[in-house]
Amino acid sequence: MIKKTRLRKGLAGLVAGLIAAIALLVIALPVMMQYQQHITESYQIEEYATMLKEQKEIEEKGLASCYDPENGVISINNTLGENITIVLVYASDGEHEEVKYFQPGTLKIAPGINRISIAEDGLGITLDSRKIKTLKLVTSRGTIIQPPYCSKTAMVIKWLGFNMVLGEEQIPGGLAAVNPSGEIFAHGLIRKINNTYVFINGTLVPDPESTGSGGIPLAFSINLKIGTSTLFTIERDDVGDYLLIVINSTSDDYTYSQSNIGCYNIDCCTFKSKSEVTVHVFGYSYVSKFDDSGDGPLKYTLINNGYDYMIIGVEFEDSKKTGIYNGTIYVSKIKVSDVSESDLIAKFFVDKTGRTINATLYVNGNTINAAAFYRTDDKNNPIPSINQFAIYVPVEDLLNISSGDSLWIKTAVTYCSNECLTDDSEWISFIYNPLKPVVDSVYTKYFGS
Amino acid sequence: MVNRKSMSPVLSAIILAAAIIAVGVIVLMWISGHSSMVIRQSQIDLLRSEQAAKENLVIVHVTYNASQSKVIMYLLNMGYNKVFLGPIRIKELRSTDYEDIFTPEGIWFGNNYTVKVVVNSTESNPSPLTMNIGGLSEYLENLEIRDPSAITDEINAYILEPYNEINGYYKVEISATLDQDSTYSIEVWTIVNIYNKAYLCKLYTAQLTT
Repeated sequence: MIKKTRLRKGLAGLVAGLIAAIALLVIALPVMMQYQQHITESYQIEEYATMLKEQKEIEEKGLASCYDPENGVISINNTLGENITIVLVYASDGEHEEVKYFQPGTLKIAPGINRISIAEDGLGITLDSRKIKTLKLVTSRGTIIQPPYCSKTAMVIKWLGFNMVLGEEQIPGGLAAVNPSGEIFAHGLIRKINNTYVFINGTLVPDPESTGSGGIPLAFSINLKIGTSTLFTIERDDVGDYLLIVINSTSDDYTYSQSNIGCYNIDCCTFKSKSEVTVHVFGYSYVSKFDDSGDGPLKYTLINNGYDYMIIGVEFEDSKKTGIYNGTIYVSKIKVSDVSESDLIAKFFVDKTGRTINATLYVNGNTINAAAFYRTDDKNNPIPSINQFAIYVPVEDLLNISSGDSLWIKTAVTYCSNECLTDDSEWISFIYNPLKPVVDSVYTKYFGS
Repeated sequence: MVNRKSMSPVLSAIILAAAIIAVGVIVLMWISGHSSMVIRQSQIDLLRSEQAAKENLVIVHVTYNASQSKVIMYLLNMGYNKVFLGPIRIKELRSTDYEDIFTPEGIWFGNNYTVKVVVNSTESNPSPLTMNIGGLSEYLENLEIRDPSAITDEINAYILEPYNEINGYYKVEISATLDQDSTYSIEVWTIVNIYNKAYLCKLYTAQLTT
């Protein structure tokens, strides 16, 4: 009986405890849920604030601009790929200021380069454009664009990658001119854009149809002078130089036509000026030649930067007119002990007997037909006379590298006639400095869009 | 010998449960009182953070008009909600008596600033709104006011509407005498209205070189 009573008391206590616990839980639950809700909302707010900040930062980086006070024109390069809306413009000459508000959607900055006049026909600013000291444009996201003077922008062009430069900073007024007795000649993977100016840039390749002093096949030639004094003459016959030139010329002053000699699996062109032209910018990058002379078929390893690519090749020692040259180019982000572990391997052959050539890239398990360039001094029967061979390597796409990154490069050449002889270079460290930023800056300066 | 009659187990369970609940409720009420304070503060912080995150006030430019002894500031509200513009500080101006703090209609310290709405090149003068301040210590700390009695429990604030609703911008004029060839840092505070109290919300800064 006593046991039964204790059991009932125990059960009653348990039930009482349970009821109390549930009651307390019911009271405490909303407090806990509120805390949980606060934490979640805090995270969401933080994420939203971060997103807005990031949007502004992206917009700031994607809108490069400059102001030309002489013409009262703002140039804005919109690289964001979408229209950007300007809602307010502020201008001040130090004494007077003007603020113009634009209804959303009425002033848009389209992708690409936009040139906007600040005067009545554009932004409606009545201040003297030459005296404007402060200019600000506000986008609909709240980003402030404050364009510097364009002349200042031009001055900060870094000629990274070029080892010879003549610009208007060196020859005020851009008055380097070509001797009437000479001409500008350029052949290779060059491209021309003309407007008021003619803009030519690209990798050069010797053309046996045009020869320079001593009968060398010309890749490039120019005579530069100021006034009556000749500055210097350049004649080049190597594969892989890079040219950037801006001249003031009309289409009657030059010829520009396709000519693929020296170019494999890619179209090349030839540019020739017919008369004296004014040179405004002249940038030149000589191909680097790393010596491996001695016994064996490899004489030099050729390396140079291109617009957003590299040219890597070889020059043959005591080039034979028959037999087969097999070449391999190893490119690696780190120096590897086993060449087969290189990030990119390029193979080529020049079969002088069979008169065929080939170039292939091997990267990440993929096989890619490569574009290549070669030097020959025989325009009618070019292949047996090839003594330089270089491959176009789009390193940014294939190796995911960018400006300033180091690469390790090694080349090997095997020459087979009756027997085979192999010769390879040491590993060469080369810093990739694409010429694109310079070329684009010069282009923007002279063409705007 | 005392003859005790045993209590019914059901009755004892009810008494026990009631006792536990009573004690529990007392404890919970204490906790919840404390919690509600924490939660209230947390809610204020949360609403303030939300407003601050969404707010997008842009100080377009600050300039000094020496002939009129005025600092002129151009503002755009690029957000989607209205913004309350509160105290403005020009830190370098403080010497003895809070000369650096400017409020609409000079409600504190008598240092005044005004806001004009500019639509289609036409200026108009909106009136500021008066609100009771919340979080006194925040004002004291952020505006570096050491004497709580120096400020009133009310503050004025201008309402800045989003730019696409007014189709214009705001021009702030601060009456101040600045030295030539000097650099001043300007702090602009916005205010958020929570439970009918004005709390400091977000700080915007700009620099002015005369």
